[in-house]
Amino acid sequence: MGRKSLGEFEQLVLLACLRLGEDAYTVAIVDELARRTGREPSHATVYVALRRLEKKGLVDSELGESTPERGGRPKRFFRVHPNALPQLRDARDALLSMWEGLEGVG
Amino acid sequence: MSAANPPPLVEGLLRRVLPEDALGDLAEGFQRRSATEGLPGARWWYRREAFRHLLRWPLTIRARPSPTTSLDMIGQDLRFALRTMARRPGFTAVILLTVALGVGANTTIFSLVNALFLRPLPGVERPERVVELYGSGSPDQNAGSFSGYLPMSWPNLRDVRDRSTSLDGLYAYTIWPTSMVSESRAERVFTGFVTSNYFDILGARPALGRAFTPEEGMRTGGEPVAVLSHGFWTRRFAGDPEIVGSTLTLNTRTYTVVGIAPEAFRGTSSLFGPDLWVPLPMMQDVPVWGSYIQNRSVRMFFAGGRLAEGRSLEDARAELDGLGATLADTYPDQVRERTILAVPLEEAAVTPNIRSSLLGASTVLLVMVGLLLLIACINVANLLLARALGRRREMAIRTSVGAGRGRLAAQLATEALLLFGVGGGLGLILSLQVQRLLSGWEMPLFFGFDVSVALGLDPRVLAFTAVITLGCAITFGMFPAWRTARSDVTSELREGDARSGSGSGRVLRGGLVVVQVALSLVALVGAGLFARSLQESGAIDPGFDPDGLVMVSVDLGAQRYGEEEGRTFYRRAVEELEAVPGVDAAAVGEYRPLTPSGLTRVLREEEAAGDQETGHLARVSSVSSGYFEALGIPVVRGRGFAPSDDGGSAQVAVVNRRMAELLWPGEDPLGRRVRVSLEDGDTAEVVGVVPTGKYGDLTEDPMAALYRPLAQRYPATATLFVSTVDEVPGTLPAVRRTAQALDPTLPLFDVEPAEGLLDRALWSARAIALLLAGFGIVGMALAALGIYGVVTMSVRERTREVGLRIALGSSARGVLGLVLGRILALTLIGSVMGLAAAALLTRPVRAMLVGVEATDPLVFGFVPLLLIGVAAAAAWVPARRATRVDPVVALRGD
Repeated sequence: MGRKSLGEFEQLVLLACLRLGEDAYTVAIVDELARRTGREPSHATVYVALRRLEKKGLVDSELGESTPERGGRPKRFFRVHPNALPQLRDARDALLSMWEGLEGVG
Repeated sequence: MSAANPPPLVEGLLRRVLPEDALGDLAEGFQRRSATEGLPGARWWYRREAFRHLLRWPLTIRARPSPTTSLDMIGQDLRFALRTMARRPGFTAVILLTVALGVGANTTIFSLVNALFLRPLPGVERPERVVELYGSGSPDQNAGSFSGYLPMSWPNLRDVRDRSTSLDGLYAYTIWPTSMVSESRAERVFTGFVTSNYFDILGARPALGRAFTPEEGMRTGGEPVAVLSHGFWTRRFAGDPEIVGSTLTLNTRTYTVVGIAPEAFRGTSSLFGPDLWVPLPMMQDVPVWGSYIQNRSVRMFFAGGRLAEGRSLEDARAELDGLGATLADTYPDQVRERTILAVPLEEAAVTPNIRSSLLGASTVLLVMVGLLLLIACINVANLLLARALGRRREMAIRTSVGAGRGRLAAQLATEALLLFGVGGGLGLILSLQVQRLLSGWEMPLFFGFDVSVALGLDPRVLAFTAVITLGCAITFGMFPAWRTARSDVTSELREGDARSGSGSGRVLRGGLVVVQVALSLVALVGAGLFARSLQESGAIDPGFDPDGLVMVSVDLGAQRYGEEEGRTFYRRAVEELEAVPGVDAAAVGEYRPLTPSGLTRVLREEEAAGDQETGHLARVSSVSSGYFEALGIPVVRGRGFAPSDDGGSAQVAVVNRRMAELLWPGEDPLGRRVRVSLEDGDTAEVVGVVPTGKYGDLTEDPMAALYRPLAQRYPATATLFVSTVDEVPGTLPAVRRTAQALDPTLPLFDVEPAEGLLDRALWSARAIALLLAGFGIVGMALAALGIYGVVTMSVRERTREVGLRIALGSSARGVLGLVLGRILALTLIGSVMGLAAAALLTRPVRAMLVGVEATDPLVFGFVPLLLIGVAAAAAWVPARRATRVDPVVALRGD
């Protein structure tokens, strides 16, 4: 994983954030990933990925509301930073390019 | 706020590692799953998530650019180690479990040994200056079934106290069951009758209230007072401090509770302690024995004393020898012991009579459990070695870019230490749980006293765990690290992993398999021998028919029944019980079968009473007329007892075959007369003979027994036997109700089916067999795991060679034969070594086995076959994989 390319899981997490918009926090991201990919990742995996993305400057976060369900603890909402979009697009283009002509496979 | 909360301990742990928002996410997830999957599912999910977070935690720590200080390096090594562990969770789990099992088992057994032999008695001040005193002699009518270390009589002890200068104060004690009534509940408790200086000499300061005053220890005018044991106080009275000053009733006398003994104090035994203590003069309330206090020839009391300042154990022993001889000379008819033995309290804490056998059993257990640990560690070492070799290329690359062999070794060492450390910690936790179970377990060891050992965390046990964990980590964990540090880097890089591994590596792994197989074999042989012994014990005929037999014990003397009242009670009991539907027959007997009791000297009529050398020790008991029928004991000659055998008619007796052989060898015992020693002048005619049964325990040598009719020899304590036609569970409550209805204030003890006797008799044999079987199976499982691992690795390494063979036309069977052949050869070698070791090691346990030789051919033949079978099975799966090797892929290498 070089510094300028995104891992598969990181891409998925970023895309989930984009889909969720204002409501992107860990639990919702996990749900979205489960719903769309059919595989539910663990909280821990998502958590670590988000922190790494934040360290790389690809997402921002801020604390939000707390609910009794969470024992009165706040949620942390993540927003995809504009810096991330070019990298996401590169990754997508690379994948689509490789798939070209192979649609019938599998 | 929802009712369910995440597991608090886990949450607490996570709080140190995660920020609030992450904790909130987990809490939210928990709540959701509680609703959909239920609480257990939610908890399980929460724990899994916690585990993952904890494993990944080091990854989220901001890493320094490059480690400079040694602390940084350790930190980095730890992080890397954790990451490696997380990457292969299955592998990690196997190692952790293996280490946990090995360490846990050893810690548990050591804790037992510690509690029995090493730990100083709790609550006793300066126990090294306290000695226990015993009379030395052979078993005798007045002393019960002890041997070697006997109690002493009160007058003798008084003389020793008065004349001894090497002992600074003497205490005496005895423990008897008494019937206690408190808060209108009646139950049996064990009461320690002690001299008033007992607590003072031992230095046991009451936790609440006070101990006894000298006035309370006086014969006359003594107030009935009691000190409760801490455990009894907690159990029975919920630790209520108000109990001090309140009263309870013991054997119908009212006692005032004046104090609570210090916590964990049980007196001078590490095995057994009474529920409460009362001053010795109160012994007069204990029927029969109470009246014998002043009798010099009745040995009732255990005693001890503190060595006077400046005097040593040798001084005391010398003095006591002299005193003992003087007493024996002064009272030749009454004092049989010529020596008085002084045993340091630390040794006497486990009753000297059983100490050596307990020591023997403990040693066996320690050895077994040590073997288990060895097998476990060898397995772990093998696995670590395998992985280290598997990462050879990775290591080689890192070395070539300058990582330094030392650093690599340090890395591997850290991993090993971490694995062993965590595994050892888990083992400790596991052991504590098991110990908690064992502490509550009451072992029916002797005289109907249930014995238990208080186990728990103890600095010694902790130290032991730490030492063995560290020792194993260094020996077995560092080894792969050391080997890696020594490996030749360039050759690794050049050859890739197509080579079949360094020759010495294979030999080493093969050697490890051999050792594991040998050790497992020893463990299994041990298990097999004790299992067979258990089987043989179970086949022993107890001498009565326990089917459908129910027993209820009563202590009429404690309830102050007179003889007439007592006889009436027994008569009514038999009548009422026989009227219960489902009951076939009812009877009364003084003792329960398979329960030890005192022995009495029985003489022929013509032998003089009082001559201590004649006659034979026998179990003399009083039984009602339906006794033999109810217990299914056939009368083989003559007759049993009839209702006509009462106080007014001729004195009669029934003997067992052994008694008949001893008293009248080769002659017909019917019509002969016996004299029962303590009853001078009375003789009885033998009217019947019964077979020799088992009276004290299943494995005893044939014991002589003599029966007398209840109506002619009244027992103050007895057991009601009820033989039922229907299933016991149905009739038990009815029997209990009927018995209780006879006298609602009379406590009934040990209401149980006779099967309980057999269970208890076989208890220790069963426990040992089960324990050893458990060890044996775990050992075998570990060996199988080890073999599986070795073969898997071996196959992987020899992929090239196998591919070559297949390409050259070798069949699947040929390949299988190649792989399996080696394993079987190794197993065979290991088995032979194991058998030789087992033959040697099992010799010392010969004495513990019943009906089985220490080299039982059945066990020695079966176990090796079993192991070979298991080894073959363990090797089969990876071996089959070898047959599927694609020669093209294999030959290409990599």
